[in-house]
Amino acid sequence: MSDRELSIALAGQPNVGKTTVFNLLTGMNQHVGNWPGKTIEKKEGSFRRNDTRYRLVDLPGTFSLTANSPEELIAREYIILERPDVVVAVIGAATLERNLYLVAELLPLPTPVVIGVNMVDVAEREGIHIETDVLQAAVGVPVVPMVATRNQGVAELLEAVEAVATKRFPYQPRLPQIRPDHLAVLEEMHRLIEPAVPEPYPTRWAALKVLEGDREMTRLVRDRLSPEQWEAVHQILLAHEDAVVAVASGRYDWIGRMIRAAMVKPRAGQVTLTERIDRVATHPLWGMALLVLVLVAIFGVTYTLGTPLQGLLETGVVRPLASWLETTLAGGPTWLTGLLVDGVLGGAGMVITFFPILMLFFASMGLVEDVGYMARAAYVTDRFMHRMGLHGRSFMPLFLGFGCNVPAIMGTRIIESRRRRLLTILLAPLVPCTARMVVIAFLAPIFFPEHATWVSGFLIALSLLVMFLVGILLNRVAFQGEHIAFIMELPLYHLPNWRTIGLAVWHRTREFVSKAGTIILLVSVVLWLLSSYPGTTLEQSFLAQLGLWLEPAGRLLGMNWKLLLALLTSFFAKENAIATLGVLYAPGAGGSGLAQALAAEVSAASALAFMVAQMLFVPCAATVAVVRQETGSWRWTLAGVGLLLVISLLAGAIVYQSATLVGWGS
Amino acid sequence: MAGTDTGVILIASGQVEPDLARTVQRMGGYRSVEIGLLGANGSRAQADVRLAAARVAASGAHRVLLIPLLTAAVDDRFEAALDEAVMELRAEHPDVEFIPVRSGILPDEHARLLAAALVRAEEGSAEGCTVGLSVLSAGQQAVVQRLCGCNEFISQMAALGFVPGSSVDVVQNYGTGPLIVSVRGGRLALGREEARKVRVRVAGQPAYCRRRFGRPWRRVMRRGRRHE
Repeated sequence: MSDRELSIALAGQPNVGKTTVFNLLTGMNQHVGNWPGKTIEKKEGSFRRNDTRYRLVDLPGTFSLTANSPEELIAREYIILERPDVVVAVIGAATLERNLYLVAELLPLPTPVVIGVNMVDVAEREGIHIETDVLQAAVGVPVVPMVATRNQGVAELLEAVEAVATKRFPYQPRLPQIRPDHLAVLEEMHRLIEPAVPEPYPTRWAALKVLEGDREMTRLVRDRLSPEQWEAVHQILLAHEDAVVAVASGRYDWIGRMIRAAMVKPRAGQVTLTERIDRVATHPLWGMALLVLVLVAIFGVTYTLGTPLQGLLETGVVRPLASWLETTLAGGPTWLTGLLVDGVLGGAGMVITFFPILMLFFASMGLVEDVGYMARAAYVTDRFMHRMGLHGRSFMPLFLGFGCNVPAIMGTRIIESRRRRLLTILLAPLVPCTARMVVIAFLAPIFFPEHATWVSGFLIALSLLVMFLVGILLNRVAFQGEHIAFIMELPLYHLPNWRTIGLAVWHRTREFVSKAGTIILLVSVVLWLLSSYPGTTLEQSFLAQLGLWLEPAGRLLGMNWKLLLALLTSFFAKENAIATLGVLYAPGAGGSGLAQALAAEVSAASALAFMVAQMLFVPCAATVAVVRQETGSWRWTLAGVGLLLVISLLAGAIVYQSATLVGWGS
Repeated sequence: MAGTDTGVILIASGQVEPDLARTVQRMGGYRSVEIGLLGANGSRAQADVRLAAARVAASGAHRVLLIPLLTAAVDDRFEAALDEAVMELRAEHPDVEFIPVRSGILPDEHARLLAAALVRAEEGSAEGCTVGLSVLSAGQQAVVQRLCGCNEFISQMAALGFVPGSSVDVVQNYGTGPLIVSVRGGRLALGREEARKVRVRVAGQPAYCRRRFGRPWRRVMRRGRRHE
């Protein structure tokens, strides 16, 4: 029995549940990477059904196929150059009209298209009914109704894919035409560029794209035309600047014909669920209040559930493992015990104990995202994000930073403008992540037993205030207040899908483990080495020598060499600050010993300066690595690190000096 | 651009919409904007302009522009009265510069504009009679006429359904911040600047043209149509 192989490309506009369909088909059998040379996620997966092996590629979600963004270029290059067997276009039933625009772009390409009308249930709730049979007859390609979140229609979709691939289905798509007044222009353009269109691009399609002002296609054609020929093309383009609208109009005319009989719209004046929720959720005042409530709830759930779990992991897993290791290795050399217990387990244990908090945070974020609320959060925050030269779309990745800065910076991929993305990446490390919160939560009660909550609140507020100010400044100086277009879809609210949320948590946690986790582990081993050698006591170690060498610089911030070292090691991973303080102040004494030693030795002014500097200090090594990866530039990465270094030391110095002035110095 | 040391007195000869001064001030970024009544009815009206000047000067403006409202009956007598008032004000506030400004629209021109607008409305001509989507208030419906801006923006917006003939519903517009609109079955948040570049004709309303009027007037019209 020989296996057939079918390759499918999954195309669709954003917010149509394309990811749900992809997850449903491939399950855990998926591979996430980047498109070659781009920081755009490429998801591939495979599965088997009957005698056929399916290879599935998830194309980036795009509104059209004109090369205005790298996503659009990737999607169409894949279809034209890689020639999958079938393109599955996922469209949302509730946004059928707009979603069909992408279908109108896909049909003229050589690969056959199967349409999956997803979220039929959401549409019915909003009073929209789709006759998929009528739509299929109108368009001339298979149309399958689906509710991917409930696994409905997926088998039928694959059936249709089979039918098209084996030519059992009479595939006769009715193609959209350009608006009649531009038909002659299109013919002329087609005649002019036909010899210059490189294989395997369809020539008529290429003529349409050039007429639409598509930069990539124009460049390809221009390179192959003589200057005189190009001049003729150029004259047409100049005389018909409105051609782009004529082409789009033609597609929407086609859509109008396709859906006239197939779609029943809600009665006029009917207030839908989404509208009712949005009256509050997007109101300038109530929307903001709701957002605050949602954020409080996310943090509440994360920390009230996460902290005890964290403790449980610490006492139930990490400590027993450490004592087990110690007893097992009792006969062996002491360096081995030290390396494994303090180095490896110290680092790995830290990563493990972060899991509950991170996963809970990502899960609540995923829930808020999946029901469609995030776009509303972006909408209401747009007003003040504007002052930082960002728009609402940057809110989501920045907020993700409260969990871990690494997925936050990866999350900036949803921002289309490169400048805005850079700015968001530079600002993201100023969002206090879980690790920094843990340090603060540990130190604040030690240094300020009576005002721990206030101090913690002050530090978080300070961090966000600095982010806001730096944002305003960077926008003015580096980006010269350039205008930013804000166009964002507000998807309909729908019930959450646990599978989608689960996979989102899984992906983000994996980002944390693979990026942050490995670096934390590595660094705790190196740190252990530096603090254990040479000599037998800590004061003789490399680490101490480095600290003593830096001490003069720390005086301005009221920090002795121990605090300075704790700050420096927090570069490798923020929570290292506690571990380093533990090693330096109370070796072998455990948590309570450290608390007493710190309270006794460090003045209030120094403590506050330390916490402020720690909060604003350069991002951890993992974050820096991701910043480099996502910006693709060492210059921006180093600029970001340098900026935060200056800010944190300055803020620390200011806090220390003013605290000394009011008498907290001793 | 208007400096913040500049104030404005709107010279009126009759009833004035109370929000007008505040709107002009916000739009133009002036230090203060006051309304001063000036007309044929003698010294009481003159005193009103002097009071307005005192208020503007007290606000710290060093330069004051005086401009007659479009509804003011601008004739020779009115102009003479304005010139006289400016002389008086200069004497009263020696360190403030008073500059009379012509709105550039003479009474007969005003009438001609109104007539032209009415003709166009009756003919239902679309071109030149469009407004930006950003001036519509919540619940209003409009038909897209054309898109302004760079090719990339137009291409992006056209793909989203903003093509000539598309019907757009304004779902939310609070006058500041982004709008929410519904077009071709999709709900979109749209920045004000982007919304302004979508030129539309309001459904069910005569297509009289606001574009040809002076700027302040257009802004005032907008103000009146604002949601809430």
